[in-house]
Amino acid sequence: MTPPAANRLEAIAARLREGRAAEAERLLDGAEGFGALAAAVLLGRPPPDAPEADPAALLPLLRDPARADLDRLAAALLRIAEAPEEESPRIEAACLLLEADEPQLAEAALRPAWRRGAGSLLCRVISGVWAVLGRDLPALEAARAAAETAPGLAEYHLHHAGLLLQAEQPGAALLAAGRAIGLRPEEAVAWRQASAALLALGHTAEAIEASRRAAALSRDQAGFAEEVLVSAGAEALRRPETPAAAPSPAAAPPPAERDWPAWARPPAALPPPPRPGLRRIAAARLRVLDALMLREARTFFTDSRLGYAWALFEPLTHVFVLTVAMMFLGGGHAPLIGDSMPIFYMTGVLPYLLFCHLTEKGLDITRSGHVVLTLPDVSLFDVVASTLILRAATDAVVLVVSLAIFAALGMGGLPRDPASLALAYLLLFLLASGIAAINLALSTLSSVPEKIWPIALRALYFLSGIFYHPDIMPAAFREWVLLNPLVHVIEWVRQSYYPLYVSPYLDIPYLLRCTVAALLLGTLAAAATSRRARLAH
Amino acid sequence: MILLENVTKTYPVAGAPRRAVLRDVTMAFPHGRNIGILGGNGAGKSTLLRLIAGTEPPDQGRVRRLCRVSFPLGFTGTFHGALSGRENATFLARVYGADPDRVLDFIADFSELGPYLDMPVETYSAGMSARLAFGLTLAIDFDVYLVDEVTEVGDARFRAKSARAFRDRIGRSSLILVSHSSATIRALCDCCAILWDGALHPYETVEDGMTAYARLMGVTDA
Repeated sequence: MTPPAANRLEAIAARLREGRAAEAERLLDGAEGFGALAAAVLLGRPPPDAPEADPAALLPLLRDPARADLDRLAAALLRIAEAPEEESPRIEAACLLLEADEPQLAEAALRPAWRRGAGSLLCRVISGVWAVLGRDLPALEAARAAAETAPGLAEYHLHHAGLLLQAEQPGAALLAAGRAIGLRPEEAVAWRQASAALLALGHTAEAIEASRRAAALSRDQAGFAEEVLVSAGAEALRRPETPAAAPSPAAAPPPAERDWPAWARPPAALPPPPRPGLRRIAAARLRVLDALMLREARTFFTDSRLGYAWALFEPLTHVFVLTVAMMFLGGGHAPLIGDSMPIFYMTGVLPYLLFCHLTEKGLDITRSGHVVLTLPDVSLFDVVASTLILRAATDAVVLVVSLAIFAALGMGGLPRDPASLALAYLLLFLLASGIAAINLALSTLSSVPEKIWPIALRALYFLSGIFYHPDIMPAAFREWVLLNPLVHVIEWVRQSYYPLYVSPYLDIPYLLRCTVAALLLGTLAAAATSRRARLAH
Repeated sequence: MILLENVTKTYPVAGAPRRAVLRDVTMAFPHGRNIGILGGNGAGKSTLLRLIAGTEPPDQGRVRRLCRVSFPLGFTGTFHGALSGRENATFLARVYGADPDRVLDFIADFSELGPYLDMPVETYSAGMSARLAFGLTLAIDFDVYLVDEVTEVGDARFRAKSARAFRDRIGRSSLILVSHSSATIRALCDCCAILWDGALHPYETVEDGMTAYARLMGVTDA
């Protein structure tokens, strides 16, 4: 350390003592800058391995004399500057810096003196500083060095034991606490640490005993003794085979129900709950449905990069592939109805796809919806309804957009009877929802439906009159195919779309019966399995 | 008031018969009392809290909630990772019938998420999600708050702020608290119950409960 630095610091310290802070600061703004100067004074030389200690942080400290005992700090810094190898001024400076809430600087002050053979006090202080800085391993090492250098001081063992407990080394902590107790048996904190270590080691009875000693020695430890008792109970239940801590309920009978305090007794007669009006119930349901649909809409297509565009592409690719395939296979003759093959396919594919989307949703609702089902205000009905309505609304938009695209391309007109088309779609929605509910119920019982249903849907692709008209079927086969309600839906859609087509096979009462049956069955099945659906996660 | 009516709840244990958390329990949790629940690890305190919250159904019997009950404080399970903190908060506020704007104002101020509020929750650290959940629970006016253990969220300053906000809330709402720490229960509750071997044993004061609990643990003269 060069004397000029010490001189300059002395001058600065003198001015600070006299309250001439501005002048001192002007001195600091010398050629070297205060940061470099303070670092030189404080550390002898800037430590290459402690870059986090920014000496500039000393500046606000010196500006604000209230935060630190400035005289003592300046004196300690001066003594460090004069005798860098001495420990005591470093320890004093570090303690003052710690008090001023500057642990980083305290570490920088101590660090140059931390080496093999350092004094016990220095080890103890630097261990404390490191513990404050959250550097647990060096803190532990320094604490051990302190305890080994001065084995006769109980406080060092206490500090060491505390750090060992934090590091989850209860065995070593118990030893250290034991040494402290050996030196000062009346030290309550030592008993407390021994108790904590014993508890961590699983010696419940001894832990309780030690915590009682701690509580008896100092009232401050009474709360701790109680904590031990409570967590000892936790330990006991975890290891029911431990004989000391497995009291049978018969040995310590809990109070009988007649001794119950008044608050816990259910009232004999509840005041009749205020009957919320139908409107309020409906408003609450709508609120939940609305919130669910908003959430669903935001996350609907998170798996697919194309997002909502896919919803439109899917039917168009179907129509495209069907058109191309039929051109090669069947020679691309005109359809039985209308004059455009793509339009004919589209009026079949769109209802079919809606049916697929809804019924497949039913299979994974419990998987994707279980999170919101943990909210008590959200019922299974809400989740099912919001999912299906949102999916159906998406497909309805797709229908409108597809029709508009084809109309714009001049390939087909607008539907002849939009109201009838809407009605057909409504019935399709109800039918598919019923089947979705049945699927939902089945999926809570077994994973088989999840595997079988896609195959069934493939089969329906060929049995629903999507790319052919029932007219071209052999009559015997057609009788069977007409049992499929989807054929009637598609016939209905085509009848309401094409200007001159009246379906010879459309049986609306039959479709209605199927829909009502599916809805009834679905509702009952879903209600019967709703508990399983909630638990499905 | 929350009513447990003949509630039975068991859960499976690997290689053993199902373990009962509650066996045919009927008990009232009145509004206006802060109730601490004592019990060892594995006694099912957290399960009891989820039953009360309604996030899990009972095997038998029913749980009647005659007031607005919070989800367990700091519970982040209902967040959707792809949605932002703001969207998740809006969703829960709407489901619980709170005004989303007011809730969001409170959260923006309280949770200290800054620009993260508009980023997907899956980019949050555990502490940030917990802060969001904590702010959300406090922003919605529940009648009864459910607290599982001491919620350790964020740094010391945030914890102090949370504790202040929470104490402020206790003045208006009541509390059902599950904790290992008798100090926490003493500080926050005015009565308690012990969950023991499938039954709930209520006590008029925390002191009575602690004494009985110590006796139950096979320790005399606690």
